[in-house]
Amino acid sequence: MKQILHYSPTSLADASAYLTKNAGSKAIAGGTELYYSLKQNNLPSEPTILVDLKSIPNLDYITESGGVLKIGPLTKLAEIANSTTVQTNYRALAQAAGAVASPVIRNMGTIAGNITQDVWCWYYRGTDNLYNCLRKGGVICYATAGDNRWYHSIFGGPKGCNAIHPSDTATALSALNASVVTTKQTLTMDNFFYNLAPGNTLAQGELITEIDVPTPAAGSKSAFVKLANRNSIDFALANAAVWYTPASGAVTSCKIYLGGVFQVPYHATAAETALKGQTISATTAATVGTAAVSAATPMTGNSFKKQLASIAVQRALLA
Amino acid sequence: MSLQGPPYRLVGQWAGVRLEAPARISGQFKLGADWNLPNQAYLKVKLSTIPSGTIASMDASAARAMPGVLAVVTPSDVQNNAAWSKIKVGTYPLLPYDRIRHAGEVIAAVVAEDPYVAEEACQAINVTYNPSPFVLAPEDAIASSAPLVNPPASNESATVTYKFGDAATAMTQPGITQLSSRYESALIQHNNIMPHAFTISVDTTGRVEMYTATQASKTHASDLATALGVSASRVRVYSLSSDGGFGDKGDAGGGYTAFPPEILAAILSQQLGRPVHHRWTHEENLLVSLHRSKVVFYITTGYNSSGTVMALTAQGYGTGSPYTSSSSNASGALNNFIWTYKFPNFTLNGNDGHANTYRQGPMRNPASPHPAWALSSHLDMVAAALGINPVTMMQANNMYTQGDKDQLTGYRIISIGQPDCLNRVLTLSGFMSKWKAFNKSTPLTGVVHGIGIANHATGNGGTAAAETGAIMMAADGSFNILIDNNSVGGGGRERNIIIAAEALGLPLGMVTMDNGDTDCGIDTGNTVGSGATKHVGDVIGLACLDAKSQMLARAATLLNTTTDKLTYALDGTMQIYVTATPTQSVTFAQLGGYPRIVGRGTMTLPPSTTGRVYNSAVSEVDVDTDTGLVTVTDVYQVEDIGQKIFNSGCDTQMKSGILMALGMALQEEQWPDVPTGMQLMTSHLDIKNPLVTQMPNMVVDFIQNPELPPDSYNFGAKGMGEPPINPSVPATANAIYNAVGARIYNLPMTCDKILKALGKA
Repeated sequence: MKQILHYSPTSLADASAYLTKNAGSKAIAGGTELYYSLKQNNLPSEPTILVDLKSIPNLDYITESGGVLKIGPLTKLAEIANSTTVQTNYRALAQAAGAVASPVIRNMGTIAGNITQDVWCWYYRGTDNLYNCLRKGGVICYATAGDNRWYHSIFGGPKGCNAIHPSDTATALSALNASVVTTKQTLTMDNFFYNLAPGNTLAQGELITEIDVPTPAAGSKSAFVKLANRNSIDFALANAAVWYTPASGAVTSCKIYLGGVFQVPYHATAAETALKGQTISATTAATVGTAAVSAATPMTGNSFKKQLASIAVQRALLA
Repeated sequence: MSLQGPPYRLVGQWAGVRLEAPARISGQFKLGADWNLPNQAYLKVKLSTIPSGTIASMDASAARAMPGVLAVVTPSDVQNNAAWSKIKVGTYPLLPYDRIRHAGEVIAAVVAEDPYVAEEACQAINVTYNPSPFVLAPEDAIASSAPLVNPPASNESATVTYKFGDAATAMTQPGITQLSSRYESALIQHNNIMPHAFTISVDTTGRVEMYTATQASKTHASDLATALGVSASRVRVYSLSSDGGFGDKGDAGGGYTAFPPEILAAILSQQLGRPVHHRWTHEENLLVSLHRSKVVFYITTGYNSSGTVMALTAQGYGTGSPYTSSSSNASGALNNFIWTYKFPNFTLNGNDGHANTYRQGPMRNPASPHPAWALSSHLDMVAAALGINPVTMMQANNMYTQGDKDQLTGYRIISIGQPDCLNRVLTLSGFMSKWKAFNKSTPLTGVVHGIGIANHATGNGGTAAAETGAIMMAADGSFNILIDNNSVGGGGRERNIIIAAEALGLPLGMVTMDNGDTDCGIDTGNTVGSGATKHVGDVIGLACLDAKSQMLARAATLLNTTTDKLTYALDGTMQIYVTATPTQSVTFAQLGGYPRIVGRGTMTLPPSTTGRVYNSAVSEVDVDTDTGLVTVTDVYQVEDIGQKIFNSGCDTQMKSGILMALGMALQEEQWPDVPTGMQLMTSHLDIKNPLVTQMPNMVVDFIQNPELPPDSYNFGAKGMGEPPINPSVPATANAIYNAVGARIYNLPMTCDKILKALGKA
């Protein structure tokens, strides 16, 4: 492991300026993603300096006012999962944060880190950059002919990459219509994610300053369901987050997203169309679940994920 | 003289905290990775990224020039060095200057002042390859068109045939129905929390000392002596009981040879005049170390309407390690088909081939859980085809019972507890009242419950290599156990101390045991795994008898009487007294003078005798038919262990075995990338070991039927640690079938396979 310098900024402005000035620098918060990658030596380019955002005060908070839930970027996943406010009005987010990895990682990992983590694929993440895949500048996606059982797309591979985005909270935040506030702009979740490494639109030196979630209308409901090989630690084989209103009666408005099945959170618009005007029932859930994966084009080894994603949607609707 | 019988003071009775717990919790116990010597240097290795081919070029100049780098060894260095080129790992070069045989093979080594410099230097070695075609899968490996792994030799690494009766004729008799199936197990690795680590020191006198956790200390000693060109008496290997051995720390591939990094560390220590320490990373452990083989079994049974199997034929294909055959391969595994039931006719063939997969070798009960899964799954399918309860099927076949000889070899089997295990597990689990045949008309939606059962017999723990050992008295009457090939792992030391304390009538605190030390014995082969309970325990018992005999003789002299008039107190009071006048006595401390009392023991089984360990298990599962995800809710398991020595140790071995079995059954797999042959699944995120959160309710029990001299001198215990992994794999497979009516023929039985079997993927 190469030696890496460490910088402790005093403010977001300081951190942003330092990162902008030093091309080889990279921000670090909880470190559960970055330290793993450094140890595996699988980053496309290894940072020479780590800018530790933990040294900046007041970046971890959860407040609700003016119809908006404001979450500080360094708020721990465990804090979000255990927040009564989040549990009450933003259930899908609390469930998603509580479903991430393990208690140890939830106690270290931050919300900003969880949505900015890189895509997952065991070729792309191979130790010592063993596989020079498309995403790393190579000429083939090794997953296409190789083993694509677990963490690969079922909705095709933009630019030939079949990796998936592993975040649980990103799926929930997308369904809850959240916005990501950065040092330069405010982005919807859809705009935040973008089909290029590292998976979002943040420029060098651009930092997340807050995540804003509009308070759902009274009478609406949200839920998140994760399906994974093991009931903790593992990334989702498929996850689903739904938000709809009203909770009882014919649905007039809804958002449905899938995670772990595409390079970014997958907006299941066909499922939303199928749900609108319907009352929640097992039959409706099954129809909507089927619609959610109607556009799926599974790879050679992961057709089962189509079933899992469909079931995740069904269970989220009925939860 | 023989060991006393029950009731025991300690054996199977002692229920205190684990003897080693304080040292472990306080960090006083040194693990292999903690064993550091003054002025030591650090070794790191560079691994191949191709599965087959040759090294076109290797430029280590940048690595050699790095500050802090003390030595770099490349394959050409080995080839061009008169002494090093003669060093063989098995029959192969120390570093692969001839050809690379698997992805992740060690192709260079660096020794540096610190491990980080060594790691960077390894990364700075620039390698280009001439890749060549490779082969991975078992049946492909022995195909005539397969690329040769060790040209010009054939890929065939081992063959075996077991034949009894006339299976071909029996198979075609009237009233016989045939069922054929193919089963494929998965290549898996130990994933031990403590990867292999060692420290080797060679001083200026040529004295070699190695500190490591290995079950193969004796062959390590002889290999290091050969490699360094020193006499065997100059090499001393300490096997640390603090670490687990797991099997993958034992050798370089089934042949009990030291790993290339160990030999490299030794020769570089000799060259540099400094100790060399190497601590493998988890990834290195996954790539360089040993795995349980992937084996394909084709099974055909011919059975009658009662479920009696009149004929069994099986063909096994295993991927041999690229270098040597493996005990976990088809050739090692097939005899597990014929140790539980006395099938009247069988023909079993095993063909293993060298392949460009990872090294394979010992892993907990190496040859057993995968054939246990295959055969018991198949028999469960026979029961299903007949519409009978699987226990009825078991009872319709001729299970080995006490007094039977092995029908193939004619060997006497020391003790047989399979029927007792089955009966006990049926009682514990309530299987007969819970089991209902899968109903094909039941809609498969939501979560469904199933229950399965399996038996299994294994040779591990029943017998072992010959062994030697000693126990030495100190001036205060306490004793220290001296074993050359220590049973690595936490429970082994405690078990041995309990045996000695019971045999000598000592308080537990008056017996200690050092790490294994090859200077304490002679090379009688490696006593590994559960065999350590059997034969290490036996030699300790025999050594205690020898010591007692010497103590009585010395006491007789001091008390001016004869030994037949003395009583040796076994109650922990540490005295010998005149039976008729107990006030006339000597304490053990009074016997501790010169010459020192040293009891010695040597153990080997009587000729034409074999030992086996039996298990029965019932598993209950919830199968989510919409996701294919399986939750094992309950496991009941009973093992025939001869005599329980160390209560909590037995309990935890059973439960850890069950948990490992569930990992093997449902989750774990490590296999190279098929198109490229390169390493894949190299982290614990990829290889899905079972988690604590997945532990089912586990109910375990033991059948105790102590073995007797001359078969046993450890109070009758069998080695019970490895066998618990076996029956829960098939019991879980059978429970899944019972729940959903679908048989999964490939391990692990993951959700994708279950959904596919259910027609949902």
